[in-house]
Amino acid sequence: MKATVLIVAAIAAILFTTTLAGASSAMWTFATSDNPASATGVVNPWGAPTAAINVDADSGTGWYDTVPEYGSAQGWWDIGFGSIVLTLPGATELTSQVAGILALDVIYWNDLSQAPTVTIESGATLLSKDTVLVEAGPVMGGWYKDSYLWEVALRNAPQTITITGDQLSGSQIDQINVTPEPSGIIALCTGIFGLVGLTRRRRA
Amino acid sequence: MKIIAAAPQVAVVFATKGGKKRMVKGCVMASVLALALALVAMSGAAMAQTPADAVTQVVLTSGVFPTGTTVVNVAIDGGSITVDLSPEALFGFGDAVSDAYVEAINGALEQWPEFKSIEVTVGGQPLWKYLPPSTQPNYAPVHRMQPMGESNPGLGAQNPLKPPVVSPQSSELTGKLVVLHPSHGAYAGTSDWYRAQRTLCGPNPVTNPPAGLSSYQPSDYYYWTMGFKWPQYYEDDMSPETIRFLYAYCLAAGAATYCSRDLDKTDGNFDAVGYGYPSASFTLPKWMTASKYALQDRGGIPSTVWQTTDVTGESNIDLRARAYYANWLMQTLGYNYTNSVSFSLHSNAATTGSGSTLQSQARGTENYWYNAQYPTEQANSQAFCTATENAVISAIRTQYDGTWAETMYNATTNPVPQEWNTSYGTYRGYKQDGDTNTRWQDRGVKTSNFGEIRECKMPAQLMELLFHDDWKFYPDQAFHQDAIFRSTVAWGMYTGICNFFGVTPKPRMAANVASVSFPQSVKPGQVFNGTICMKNQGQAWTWGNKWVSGVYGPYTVWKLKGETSDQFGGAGTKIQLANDGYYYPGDTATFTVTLIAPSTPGIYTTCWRMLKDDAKGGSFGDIAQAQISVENQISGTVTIPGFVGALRDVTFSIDGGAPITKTLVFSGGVASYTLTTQVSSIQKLSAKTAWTLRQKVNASFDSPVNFTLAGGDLNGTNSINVADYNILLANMNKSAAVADINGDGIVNSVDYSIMKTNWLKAGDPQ
Repeated sequence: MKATVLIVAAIAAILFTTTLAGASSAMWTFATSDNPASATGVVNPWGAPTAAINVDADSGTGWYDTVPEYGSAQGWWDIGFGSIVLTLPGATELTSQVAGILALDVIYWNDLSQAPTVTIESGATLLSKDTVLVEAGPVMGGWYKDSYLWEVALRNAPQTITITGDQLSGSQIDQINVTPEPSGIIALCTGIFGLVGLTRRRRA
Repeated sequence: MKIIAAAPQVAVVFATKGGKKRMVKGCVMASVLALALALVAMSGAAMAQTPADAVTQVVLTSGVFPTGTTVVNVAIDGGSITVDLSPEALFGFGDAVSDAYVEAINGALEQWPEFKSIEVTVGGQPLWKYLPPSTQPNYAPVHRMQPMGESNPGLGAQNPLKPPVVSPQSSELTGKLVVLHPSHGAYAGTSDWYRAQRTLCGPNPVTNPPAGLSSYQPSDYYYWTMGFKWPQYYEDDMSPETIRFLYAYCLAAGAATYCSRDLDKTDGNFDAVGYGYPSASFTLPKWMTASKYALQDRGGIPSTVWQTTDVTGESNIDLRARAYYANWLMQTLGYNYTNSVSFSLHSNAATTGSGSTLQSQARGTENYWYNAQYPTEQANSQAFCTATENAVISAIRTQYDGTWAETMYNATTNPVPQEWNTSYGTYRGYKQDGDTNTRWQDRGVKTSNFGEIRECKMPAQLMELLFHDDWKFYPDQAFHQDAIFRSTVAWGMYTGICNFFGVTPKPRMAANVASVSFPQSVKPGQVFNGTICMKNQGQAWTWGNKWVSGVYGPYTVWKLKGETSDQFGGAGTKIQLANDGYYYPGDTATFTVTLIAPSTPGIYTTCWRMLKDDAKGGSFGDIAQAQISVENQISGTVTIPGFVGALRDVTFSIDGGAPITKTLVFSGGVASYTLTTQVSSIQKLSAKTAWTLRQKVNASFDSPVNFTLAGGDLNGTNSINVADYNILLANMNKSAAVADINGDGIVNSVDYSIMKTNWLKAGDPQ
């Protein structure tokens, strides 16, 4: 019985890890004004992640290439009160929800415009949020990165993450990065170790 | 009936052409005799029946001729009369005495205007044959001098006491020389100045009543009853006032114009002592002196002109100085007899002797030529006389409206003046457009030996414009007191000069629009002012004096009149010329026009034109007009928080209509504004600057409409967002107006703060 559990856990961990890695490993640099924007560095066998940019017509001004006063950044969106909706294809093999970890980084301009808010599917639990300065602006302001870590319930349906501009000051988004988290790797390792242990027990 | 009386002995006579009342310096015996014979002489004048009688009487009784002088013969041949005197007439003879003889005899013959040639001879020889010949040298041409007038910088009214400052407005007399001689002026004696025309002309019942009268008689209807009064004056002082206008007209026509007397009444006193007249008691304004002194004082004129040694005696020298001055100008300036004229102007008198009581009914204008010294000029002088006489008569009859004087000199309604002598015939009074008896009299062109015209080497004339001693019967002197009359007859003189030279004179009534200034827009029903400046190009615009409604006082005929096409209700409105001086050709008169805007918004036109407002006038000149927008007005304030600059262009829009941009002046971030519009109603008004959002508010024409504009919209999108922020960043710490929200000249944290305050706000739609 115990061996069965371990086997199942190992398979689940593998699947989870594979699914998680494929869904979250994507980066949007917005190097072009394409909308929806394509991600780079994608590891997702179930489909291509997308980012639909909705610029609020009253408060946002759209895409920018380079502006010297913004430092080295190339390509970003002023969405104002608008949003960027990320769609991450889910693992079609997964028949039931599995708990997992999702990491998200958002780089935004912080001055008159402010940090966006990020929303994810209901039931997700925010484990942590950190803010760091990425690059100070030559004149004023600077590029900041908010790093989010959620515990989420993985499923085979696409994952949707919404990044909404600050509703008072608007937001300028330079980059979004979805990456695998160590907890996922640990789970993968746990599954592997479980399979190994089961094999040894059968041999013994 | 002939009256023969012995004339008093006269020691010294100062007398010249002009008024016939003379200062006689004689011994006491002479004065007593003259007084004793005065009544006889006066009655004799009235009773003279023939020209020979009249001449004989004046020779024997006037006191002008030396004792013993008799009339040897009077020869009449049609319009010519020759009076031959006995040799006693040559006692103390000279230029001035010669003129005095001619004056006296002409005066005696005023009742026979048909005599066009009056020659006085002694021993069958013309008087001038007994005068010292002219030794005036011929002068070499030096250069063409500029006329006395200064360049006209575009003057308004000119001081009537100063010489006209006129620059040529046309060229019809360019290349012509005109030398003017108004009457005589005063001569220096050994202890005082002596006026050539010493006796006051006209009435002065308060300070100088006529002899034998403590006041004027009740029959002086036109004086007491009608209140018709005018100031006393001397002929010597009045002729310059007419010449002043002619001087201006000739300058304006391009002529080299000179005057032998000083027309500047502000020129100070003549330096008698400094100029060699050794009595310290001499004080006389320069303008009152005779020509010889004025020419001496002017400088640069050789003494052979103003102090000839041909003759002795101040009056003799002065008479020649006038002709010599004209000759000198002609030669040194390079002119000749074909393009030069000499114009002498006097006023006339028919009263002879020392009496001050009116004795004649003579009136009107006559003109003399002579040139005996230079016979080749006689025909030209006669033509010159004819041209100016005709033009002056025409001017007085057809261009000057003297109907106001008909009330004074009305033979039907007024009592016959008590001084009217029945020997004159029926008193007919004066009528402006009357028949040959009642209208202004043309006494014609005559020839007589006057020194001023005798010595001229060019066409010369001596005009007796009017009689200054007929004021009991005719309006000559009343007209003379009227500057509008003087400016009119001067235009006649100018016209005559042009006609003589065969050139076309300018239109007498002409005006150009110098400027028109009205508000660009006014409110419906608003009363507002504008100014119209009209540049005179014709006869001088002035005020004058006339009798109106029982008062003799100032008036003008020169007005600005609203045309019938005026859309501001100005049609028919007349605005008088300012009573502040003379407007010569080239001068600009300013009229203030008050208008009332129509009640309906729209574009309207106001139209005005000069008017000579009398029976001889009418509208003339260019039409001055202006288009004025009748618009409603909106006013209020614009506040830009944080703005410290002075100027901002603010763009308004009425109910979403076309933008109206105004540059407003701010103080403390607040500026007042006024908008005008032709819309008849308003609901909303918006305002925006290139640095702010637009605000739209409820609006009305009656209440202030105020705005507070939020700064930060730097790209004109009417919203404040990243695009504006980028502009701000790009210009941070620079002197960049585009991002200088607060207008302090630098883009900095203050502008950033304003933008931050209004971040992501959007303005109202237009």
